[in-house]
Amino acid sequence: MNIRTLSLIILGIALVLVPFVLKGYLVFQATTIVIYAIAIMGLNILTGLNGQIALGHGAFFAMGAYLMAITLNVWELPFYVGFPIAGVACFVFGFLFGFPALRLEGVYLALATFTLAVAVPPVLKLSFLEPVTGGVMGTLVPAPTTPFGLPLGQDQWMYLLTLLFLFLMYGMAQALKSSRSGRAMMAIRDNPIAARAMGINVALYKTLAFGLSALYAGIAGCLSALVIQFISADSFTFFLSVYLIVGLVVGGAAWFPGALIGGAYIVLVPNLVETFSPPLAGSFYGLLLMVMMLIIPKGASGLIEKFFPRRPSASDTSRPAPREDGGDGPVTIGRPGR
Amino acid sequence: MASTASGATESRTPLLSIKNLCIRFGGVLALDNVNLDISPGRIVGLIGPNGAGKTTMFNCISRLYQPTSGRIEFAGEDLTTSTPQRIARLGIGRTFQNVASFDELSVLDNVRIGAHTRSTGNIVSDMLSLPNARRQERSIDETAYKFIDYLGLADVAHSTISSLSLGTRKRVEIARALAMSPRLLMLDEPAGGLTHSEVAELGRLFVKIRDDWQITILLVEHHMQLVMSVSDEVTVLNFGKNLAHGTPSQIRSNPDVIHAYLGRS
Ligand SMILES: Nc1ncnc2c1ncn2[C@@H]1O[C@H](COP(=O)(O)OP(=O)(O)OP(=O)(O)O)[C@@H](O)[C@H]1O
Ligand SMILES: [Mg+2]
Repeated sequence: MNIRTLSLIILGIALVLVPFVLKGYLVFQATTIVIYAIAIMGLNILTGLNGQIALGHGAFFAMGAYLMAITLNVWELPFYVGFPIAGVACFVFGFLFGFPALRLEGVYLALATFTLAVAVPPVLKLSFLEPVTGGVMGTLVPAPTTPFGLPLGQDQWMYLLTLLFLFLMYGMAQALKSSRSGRAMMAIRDNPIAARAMGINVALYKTLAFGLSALYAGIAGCLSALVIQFISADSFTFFLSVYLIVGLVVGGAAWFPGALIGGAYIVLVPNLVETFSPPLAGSFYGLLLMVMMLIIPKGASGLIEKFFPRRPSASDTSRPAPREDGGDGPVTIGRPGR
Repeated sequence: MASTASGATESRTPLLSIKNLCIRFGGVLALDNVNLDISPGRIVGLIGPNGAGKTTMFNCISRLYQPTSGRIEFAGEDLTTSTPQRIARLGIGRTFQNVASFDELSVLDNVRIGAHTRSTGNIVSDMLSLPNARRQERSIDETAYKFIDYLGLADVAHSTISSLSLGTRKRVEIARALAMSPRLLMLDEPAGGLTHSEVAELGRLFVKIRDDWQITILLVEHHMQLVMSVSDEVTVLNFGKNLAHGTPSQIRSNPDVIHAYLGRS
């Protein structure tokens, strides 16, 4: 067992112990961190594995939260039914949204998805949707009671439920990364033209990655509705989308455990800067982010990579070093720049 | 190779048949009524001065470019309206002039991606590691390691592409293309930027690939010595047009070819 696997196992055990060591509000905060981590893992798949940038995942988060509320309040079904409903709905919605996204790249895609984040909260407030969404006032969400008579407090039970989802969805993301589908996504990220020539269906895997990231955000939304026990459109402003991206960047785009660090950053740092100087909190937040990006441009994953390299950086000694002539430029399928 | 090109094409139906292929980029007619037949099991050299349209022809065949007119047939199937996926599945593998690797991934993953179309699966079983996904993964690994060993890449199998030398990257691309189990392998300037001894080794490798796996090879190369030593036939493009076709010795002594090369350089 290598040091990375060992650290992950220790981290996993530590996470399980959290609600038994911490109390009250801190458990709630820890739960929030894990919820954000789940949503950020979705972005790890979209951006880290597939190279697409989206700024609108707060919308899918909101969709998940509302679907959970509707499952409980309108359809009066048990809470665990809410997860597959929200998961499938967000996946399908994300998958479909992925199609127009196919025509856009980089900043343009980010901008297009940003409109999603901006457009969703007003829609949720519409009066004719009030019976299902609660309109401007929002709606209460009944918290599920502790199952099987387990001796757990409500906050402990919610934390452990959330953590269970984190573990499951981490496992699935990790399995994806080392599978045929995951490699297809990474091939598209690294070199879309070569990926096409290898026979990879670029459109399919890009939309799948979009759908998956929406599913992750949706599940996170479900959990947040259950934990906060109240939802309203104002809980899902476009800032939520921005925070998720911040968390992604801080944790590192392609490293799933980094999602927890990103989640911790977006939950804890605003409180931290608030204690220094409430009026300047926003400025401090921005400044801190800028400094972080300068020190660790690749996020937490860059730091880890530096101190625990995955493999002894294998120097390629099997052949004499050839002359390098222009093999490093951006890949073009046509003419070389000679 | 005693048989002449025409003798060979008469005796067998061509694996790849290109008829009156044209492609226009704005005002440039990059390919102008190009014809080419490639019989199975041959190594065909495709040469021509810079800008002659060699890479463009590859891109038309692998459907990264849409030809303006003309026909491309592979093993009897018309490719003119096929998708790149279909092309890969039919068995046309290729390498790129300016090495197009998946740079953040390991050599092993690059070659595994080559086997993408030779395997099936779906994202759900992949994410849940269902038995069918694991079975598939084992067969992909088997293919990948076979070609990693074949190209002598075992030592660097776990290295990231970006840490490798150009020569090694080029071999990774060949291994990746072989993992597609192609019937036709298109190589775009595989010797570019390699040392003398590497080029000699490459020539032997091409013949070995053809003999070991019955793969037909279409080779674009500026390294004349390499092309002339490994090719059974050579076809010459100039300004997007067919200029000549024949055995290496016929091409070497063809006055038009000599003029095209000398006239430009
Ligand atoms: N995508 C494109 N857009 C516009 N023009 C193109 C494109 N691709 C190729 N061309 C033009 O087509 C012609 C043939 O180019 P091509 O790259 O096929 O030449 P080549 O024979 O591969 O040359 P080299 O030996 O330098 O690689 C050139 O005039 C080139 O400018
Ligand atoms: Mg070229």
